[in-house]
Amino acid sequence: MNARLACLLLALLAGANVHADETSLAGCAARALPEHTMRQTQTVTITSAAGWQRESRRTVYWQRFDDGTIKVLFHVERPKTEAGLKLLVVQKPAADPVIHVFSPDMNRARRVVGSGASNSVLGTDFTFEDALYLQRFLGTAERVAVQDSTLDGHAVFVAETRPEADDSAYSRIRTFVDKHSCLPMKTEFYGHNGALDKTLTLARDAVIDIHGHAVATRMVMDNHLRKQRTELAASEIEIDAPLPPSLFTLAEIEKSH
Amino acid sequence: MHDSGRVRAATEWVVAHPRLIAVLSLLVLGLSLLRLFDFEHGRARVEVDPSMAALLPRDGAALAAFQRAHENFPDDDLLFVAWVADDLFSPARLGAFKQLTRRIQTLPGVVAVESLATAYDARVEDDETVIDPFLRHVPHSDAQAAQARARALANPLLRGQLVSKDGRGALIAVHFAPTLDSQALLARIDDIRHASRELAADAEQFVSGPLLVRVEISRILNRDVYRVTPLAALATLLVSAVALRSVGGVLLPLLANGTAVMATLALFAAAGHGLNFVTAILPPVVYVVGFAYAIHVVSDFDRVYQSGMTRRAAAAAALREVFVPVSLTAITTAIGFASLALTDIASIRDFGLYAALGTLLAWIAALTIVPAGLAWLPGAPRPPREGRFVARVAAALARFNLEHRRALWLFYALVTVAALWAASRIEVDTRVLRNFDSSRAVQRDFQRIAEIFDGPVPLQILIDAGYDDAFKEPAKLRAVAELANWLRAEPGIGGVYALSDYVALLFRALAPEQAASAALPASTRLVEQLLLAGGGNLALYLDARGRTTMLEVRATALSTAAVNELAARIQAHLAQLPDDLHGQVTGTSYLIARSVDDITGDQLRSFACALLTTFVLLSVVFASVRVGLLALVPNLLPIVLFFGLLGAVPIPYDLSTSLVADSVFGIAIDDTVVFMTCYAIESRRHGRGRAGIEATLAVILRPATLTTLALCAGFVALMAGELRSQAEFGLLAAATLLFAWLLDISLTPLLCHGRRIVPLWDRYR
Repeated sequence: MNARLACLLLALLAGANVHADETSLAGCAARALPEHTMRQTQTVTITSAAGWQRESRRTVYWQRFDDGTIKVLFHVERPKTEAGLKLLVVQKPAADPVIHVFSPDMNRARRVVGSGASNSVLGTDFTFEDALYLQRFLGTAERVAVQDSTLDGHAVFVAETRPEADDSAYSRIRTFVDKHSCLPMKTEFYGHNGALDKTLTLARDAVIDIHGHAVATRMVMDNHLRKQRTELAASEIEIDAPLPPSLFTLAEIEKSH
Repeated sequence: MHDSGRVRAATEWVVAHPRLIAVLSLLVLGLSLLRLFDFEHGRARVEVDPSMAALLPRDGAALAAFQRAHENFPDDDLLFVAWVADDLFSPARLGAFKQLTRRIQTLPGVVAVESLATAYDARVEDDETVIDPFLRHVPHSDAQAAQARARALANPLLRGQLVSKDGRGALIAVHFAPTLDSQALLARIDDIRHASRELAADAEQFVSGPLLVRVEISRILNRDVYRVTPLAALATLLVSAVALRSVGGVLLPLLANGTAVMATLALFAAAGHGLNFVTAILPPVVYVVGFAYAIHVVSDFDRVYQSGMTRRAAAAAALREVFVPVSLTAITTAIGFASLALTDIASIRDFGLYAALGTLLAWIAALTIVPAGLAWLPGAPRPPREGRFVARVAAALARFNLEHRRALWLFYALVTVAALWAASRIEVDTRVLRNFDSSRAVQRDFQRIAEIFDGPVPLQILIDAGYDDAFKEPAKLRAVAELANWLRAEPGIGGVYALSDYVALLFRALAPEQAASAALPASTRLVEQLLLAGGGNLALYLDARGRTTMLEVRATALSTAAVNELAARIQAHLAQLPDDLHGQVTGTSYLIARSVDDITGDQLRSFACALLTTFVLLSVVFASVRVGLLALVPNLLPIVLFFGLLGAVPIPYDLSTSLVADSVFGIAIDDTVVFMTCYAIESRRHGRGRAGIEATLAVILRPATLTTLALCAGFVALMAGELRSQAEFGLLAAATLLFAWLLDISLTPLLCHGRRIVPLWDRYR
């Protein structure tokens, strides 16, 4: 399930070429993912309704293979009780993702299947479906409306999709894609009864340029239902730098133990 | 008669300005009606709010725990939708059930829906872990449906809660936005009911739960406020019309009281209050209390007018006559109501303050509108033969009382002893379901939920460990598991859902090899990592800091006493938890049960306060502690009889019946005060013996009897309401009031006989 999250997070945090052709949303969308690999360190801060905060840190490795398979490895490093947890997500085209969970206190990695669309990902306010959305968005299959608008004074495409998946938590999702950077600066997730359940916002002042890619280094998911938020800050970002192929194998995950 | 210069001047002014008073009263009435009714749309602006906010205490540990639970965990004020069928686990039924879940999710104001369609499920299949919503894929065959049934029954987080233990029932729990107003909530529930009926086909289906019961009661109260209250007013009018046989005598109390009630309600609404389960009785209470004041004025006017005075002079004289006793009564009654402001519960505080305000407004209206109207309206004096008849009855009554004083004392002593004995058997309990006829769906369906599922009443148990991530430690998880097991074995508890069950589910699904030899993980790190990797709704069981966990309990208790007893039992067990764990029972149903019983207890406190206030005031007014005490006797005994009645009949001392004592005392004291002030005058004219008693009875017999009959008719009219508790209130209040009247015409004369009773103002004359 987390492969899709990784796709989304990496797409959002890494962004696209800032000199992209701005003529269409599709043009932007096509450049929303790195070409081959991505590595970054994420600091995740969850702020509860009562104002209490929990911070964790994880390193994320991402790679797109020639057959279209995407593999993502989450390696949780902090806090101490979470450290060592690894999730290897294998996303083949047109298939449910397969996740391999490994904990230092488990003898071996465990293979997990299923959708779990509304499940929280690593305790955050992101769910599998939030991550999956980006792929749908990129695929344009469920996009029902696109229009030009402005957001905070910047020109944006406003795209709206109506999820058709049976187990979707949303009735519609609206995204504001910056025409210049191609980053989805704001995404609104509406529940089945039309209420705004969550809002994902990228911090414009935290957008940086890495090798010609616009990268948002900070994003916030506001969960209006639970009145809490998850803030993701990315650092040590490397785009399209070579990663060892063995990184994404079960043997490697278990060996590190 | 009180003849001080100021009172005389005031009474003269009132009777001299009937048109001005009529205009002012109609203006107040009109403005009040405009505030209370939306004439454009033909509906009332003030409605009964079914939310539980009105029943919450202002502060205290119980409220703090409740608020902590609400801040950290999902709301437990739920609507249940239940389906029951032998073939529930069939492709068609499960498909329809999932469709219903989806349809409910689309309704505005619905914030969360728990059902098999949305429930978290983690399991091992073919050496893989499958994590999916339980009904992600609706079974396509009977074999798949049977597998789904087996899986549901094997899941401790589903069995008993979302699916019945026999696999024949499935339940949807609906969470609504707390901001939803009563009309929107009613509309949503009707939508859900309609959708369920449509999709369930031939399966048994119903909606229920504590939220529904509250909503249904508010729906009935809304109807009754605007139907039964006017009916009660009409009943009092009919009695007074038969007895008084004059247009003014009937219409003026109605106008005076109607103005007081409407003005009170308008001020109540203008201050931002809404009617709720407690304040819904404000209109009838203000009406009946004020009615007695108006009738005293009318009755005294009739008596004085017979002596040959002009209408204006008779109205002024009657006003002077009743001014002191009615004022005394109004002030003591208002103080009694105002004493409710000392309570912690907002609705009781509001009721007390506005009932006190209403009493004072009714007092002002009775002493202005009624005499002004009587002076203004045309009419002839009553035939002298009526006065002679009353005098004859008064004489016979005085003779009977004095000649049979020992028998009377003995009779009342026996009644008191019997009542006290019966009162010891009173059951303090509010069974909300009693309000509905047993054949009605509300009661039947609530009991069906109790039969089929783990229990219809959710309770929450908060356990706090005092430090972050405590409940990720195996030792703490084991303590939670032990508590859950203890709870499951307790009578009155149908099901318990705890963090330990959730962790155990993840443990079995993600680390099955280790789970084969242990129920729970052995290390904090594994617990933490299972929770992270599992991705389920941990927020149902654990707060963000990991220091407070919540156990959800489904209780089968159907009354406040049973809920409170169960909560006390649980609380006693929580005290035995390890030193670093602190437990607290909370939840909507528990807080309501506790508040309702507190409210019931508060009525006793309020009554004691009213009793003390009346005693002090009467002792001062009659400059005698002894007379103050004597005045209490004929008013205390009806209350003793009321409690005796309550112990003797199968009616509990509950939210409604607890209001009888205060209401009847406020009315009954009126006749006693009138008798004593009248006796003070008549005993100066006729002596303190039989003649004085006779003369006093001749004055008070007619208004006292008329007021009692009219008010009893009003109270009995409450029985036309749909709520059983309201009917019981009316019946008990009428019976108690009749007894109070009997005491005032028999015991009060005996208590006064031979005594020198002199009001304070006469002592210094």
